[in-house]
Amino acid sequence: MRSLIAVSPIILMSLGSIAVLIGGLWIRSQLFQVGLSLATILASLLIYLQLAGQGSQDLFSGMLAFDPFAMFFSFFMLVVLGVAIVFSARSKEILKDRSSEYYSLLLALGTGLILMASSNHFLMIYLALETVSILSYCLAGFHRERDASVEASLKYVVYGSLASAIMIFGLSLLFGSTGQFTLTGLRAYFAHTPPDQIPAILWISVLLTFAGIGYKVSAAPMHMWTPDVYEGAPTPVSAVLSVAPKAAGLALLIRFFVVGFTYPIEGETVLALSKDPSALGFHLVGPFNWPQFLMISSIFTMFMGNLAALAQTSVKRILAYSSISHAGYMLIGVTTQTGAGISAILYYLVIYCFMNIGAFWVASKVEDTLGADHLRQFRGLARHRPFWAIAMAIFLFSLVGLPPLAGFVGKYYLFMAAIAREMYGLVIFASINSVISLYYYAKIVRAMFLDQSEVPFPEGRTPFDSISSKVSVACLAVPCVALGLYWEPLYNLVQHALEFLPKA
Amino acid sequence: MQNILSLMIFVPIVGAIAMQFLPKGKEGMAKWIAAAFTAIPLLLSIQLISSFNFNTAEMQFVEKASWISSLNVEYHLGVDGLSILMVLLTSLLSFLGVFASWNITKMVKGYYTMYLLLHVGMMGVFCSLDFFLFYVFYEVMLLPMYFLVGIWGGEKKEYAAIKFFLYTLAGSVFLLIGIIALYMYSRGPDGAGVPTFNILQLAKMDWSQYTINIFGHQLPFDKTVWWLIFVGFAVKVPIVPLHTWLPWAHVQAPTAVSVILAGVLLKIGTYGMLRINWTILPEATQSMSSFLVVLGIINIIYGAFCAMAQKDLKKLVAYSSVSHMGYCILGMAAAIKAGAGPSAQAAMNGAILQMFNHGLSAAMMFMLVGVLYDRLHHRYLVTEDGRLGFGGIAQKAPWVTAAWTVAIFASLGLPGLNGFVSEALVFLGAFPIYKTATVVASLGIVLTGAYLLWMAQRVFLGPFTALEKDPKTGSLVPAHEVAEPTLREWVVIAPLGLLCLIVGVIPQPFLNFMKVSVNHLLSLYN
Repeated sequence: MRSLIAVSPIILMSLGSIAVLIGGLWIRSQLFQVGLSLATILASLLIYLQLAGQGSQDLFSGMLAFDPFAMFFSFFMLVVLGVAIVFSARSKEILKDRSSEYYSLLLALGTGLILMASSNHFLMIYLALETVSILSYCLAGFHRERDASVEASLKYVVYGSLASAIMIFGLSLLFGSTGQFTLTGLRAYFAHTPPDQIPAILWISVLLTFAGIGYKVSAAPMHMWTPDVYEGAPTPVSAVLSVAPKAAGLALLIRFFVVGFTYPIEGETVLALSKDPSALGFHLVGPFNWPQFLMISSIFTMFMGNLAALAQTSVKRILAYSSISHAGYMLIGVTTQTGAGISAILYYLVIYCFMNIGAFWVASKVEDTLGADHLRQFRGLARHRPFWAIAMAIFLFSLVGLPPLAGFVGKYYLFMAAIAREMYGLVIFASINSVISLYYYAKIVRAMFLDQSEVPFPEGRTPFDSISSKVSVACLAVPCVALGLYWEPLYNLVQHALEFLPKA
Repeated sequence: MQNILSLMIFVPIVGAIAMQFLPKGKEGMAKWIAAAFTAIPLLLSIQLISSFNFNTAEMQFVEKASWISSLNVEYHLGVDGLSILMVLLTSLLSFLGVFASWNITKMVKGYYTMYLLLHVGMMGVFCSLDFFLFYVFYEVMLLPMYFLVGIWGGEKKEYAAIKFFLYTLAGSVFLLIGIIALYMYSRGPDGAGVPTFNILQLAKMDWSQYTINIFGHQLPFDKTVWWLIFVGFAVKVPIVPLHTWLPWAHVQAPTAVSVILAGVLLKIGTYGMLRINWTILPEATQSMSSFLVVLGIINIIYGAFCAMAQKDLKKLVAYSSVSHMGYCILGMAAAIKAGAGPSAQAAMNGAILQMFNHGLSAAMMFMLVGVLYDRLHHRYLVTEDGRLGFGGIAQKAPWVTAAWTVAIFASLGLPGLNGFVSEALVFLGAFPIYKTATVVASLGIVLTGAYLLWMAQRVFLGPFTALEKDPKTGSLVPAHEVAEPTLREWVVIAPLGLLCLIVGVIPQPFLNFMKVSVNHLLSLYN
């Protein structure tokens, strides 16, 4: 019963998803579909608010974990989905005649995302990941008359099924060699097994599992699908895909490694932060030093994303590559193996959600109005629609990490967590990447503010002039500035989510 | 007044916001709003210097409040002898800059909004005593500067703007790593203390006991962090070879922005070094002093030779800035080698006064380049086909020539004008400490004289052969008339010229501001 209450928001979301789908057969009005979806999300949020503060517990005999960390991500996912629904409601790319399917898919995606962030059992991990993947394939291919969208979906399917196959193989090895099915069980196994009796095959299973999760996070070298999918998918879908599954993937990555594989180290707290529970050590399995591997993956991801973005001319593609590089930044937090690093990731994710969805939103308006999202279409935007150009500039400079914008604070926490563990090399690489990234973000800003428009701007009312879109984009842009000036409440919230960390 | 520093920093924001409410068609009012909202900080800074206490090295007009308590970040402001003249310079040049940009017609509101935001950043850097706050203000300057150069600049503005942006950001990310490292280690060797960003507290700590590990190498903490921070500021100064953004940004920027760039932004580099490297990491700084002297000399000589080779008048002035900032580095480096004693004091006083003086004379020169450009629409010292771009301006415009002469002589160090005082102090102080180096550096004086006088000869003397760019065809045609400065232009030039003269004749009051603080800084080096 307790478990049922705890998952009631997920059940509610599933019911909402079905209701939107079936209701949409009779009631074609988009207002109804959007309203019902938002109501479902709001109701789930309210239930979560009621449930908050109950501490950690295991649900369904260890299938799911219900702790502040899962709660944080559930909240995060619901808010992202809410924003995405408002975003989609105004987009031309979401075809009106099929919109009920779309909103139904989005709500179902929400259940997958929440499950992914709270799964504790290997099977649950796999199921949640697959739910998210399959729904993402459908969403990416939603615009099925458009070749790019279909191509995106197909590429996503091919990469995705390969990645999940690899991952389930990794999980099966993990089960086979340890006999454990849950992450908490794995932890107990490590605590009771002398290091020389841990089977060496484990390192392969860790690597394979990382491949599956890394594909969701779009960490290099599992990032290849990202640009094509984000470019081909309808823009609101790209916005969701660039934030929500990535966040869920990171949540899974953190939970998998931190709960399953770490042990608290005494006396390694010298440079950890004051509020930090403690430094965590990783169990090294076999000959494979995989904290080192995570670090290399993080550096590689940052460079891949940023260097590839330099050459792009499609803004959606630029944002896709930038989202790869941001995954690289966030991996820094896991690499540090401290509470400070993990809280930095959570903090970064919240801000990243604002700035990235905001940037996609502006790109989508440009595409709706001018037919494409290339830099050419952005030229002279500041002259025609200064509000949108300024909002975009705020999002982009926040993505660069310039103070006093929120992106800086996120990067600051990540860098600080890494320096606290004396990972200077990693921080230097990350800083070099911030500088590289400035170049391509500034290319968009330059097109908007410095260049003259090339494409004739339509007279009269355009999608830019919708009041609700303006308000929503302002709601995304204001936090990008405000959280750069004062972020104490958010920081405390994030600290609270860390209470799931194993104590020393 | 309790919150005088906060007022000085944030009043321009009020102006920037007020500007957004100007009705359509009344955009011209923006410049008056900008003038008013830069006049307030100027008046406040005059109030500040008149109530400044000369006899203490303590921070004055301190404001302190908690900002982000979980990180122990404070909103902490204050000024001392190192920063007070820079505050004055910033508010003065910002106010005059409004008049220098009076005839900007493109997106007026946007221009002055950016201009006022830039003011916030610059003033904030000079006043903040919390390292985090310092960094935020330091970066706040970048965005407005990018747009000011990129939108309102000359023909290659986009390239200049992004180059400036990338260079400065590349420097400042290293600065950020340095800041975080200092913060992390400020908890003491056992890691038990509360970490702090407070610059005054950081200055009291002993950093030589730590080592850090970069790519598997154990490096001394203080020297490594010193380098990280130094690179950040060296881009701003700029120290050769990190200077290549400067000729682009200075030349492409609109007149007022060049004035601010040369007058204030370069000083942020040297000021930051004094405030952070010199104060917080004295041992590391002292061990680098010979190296710094070499850097200073390279700046002086290389900048001077580059200036001499230029065919573009504004580029010549830009490279002269590189050369002149070399004197600051030379003085600052020599002073810490000796530590105590009159020569160290003279060198350090000279270096800080040189920051102020170069702010005045470079600002005046850029302003005057703008005056010539407004009349003749080009900046060719020598045109591409080898003709003189200007020539015999003195025949037609003696007052323009007179103003230029003051700027030129102030810059090359003629006794009686400001440049002489600071350069003489630097050389006097540095000579007993680094004899050979100072002799080599004094070559710079000769070279400065050479390129400036040669420029004066080609621009002002001889028969009137000045060319003018035809706005329609873009070709250079002989000019007929060169108008004398208007009242608006005098408003900008006259105060600067007058200050050059005052500092040149009676430098002591200006030296008094910094004397005690300089002694305090040097006492770290005994």
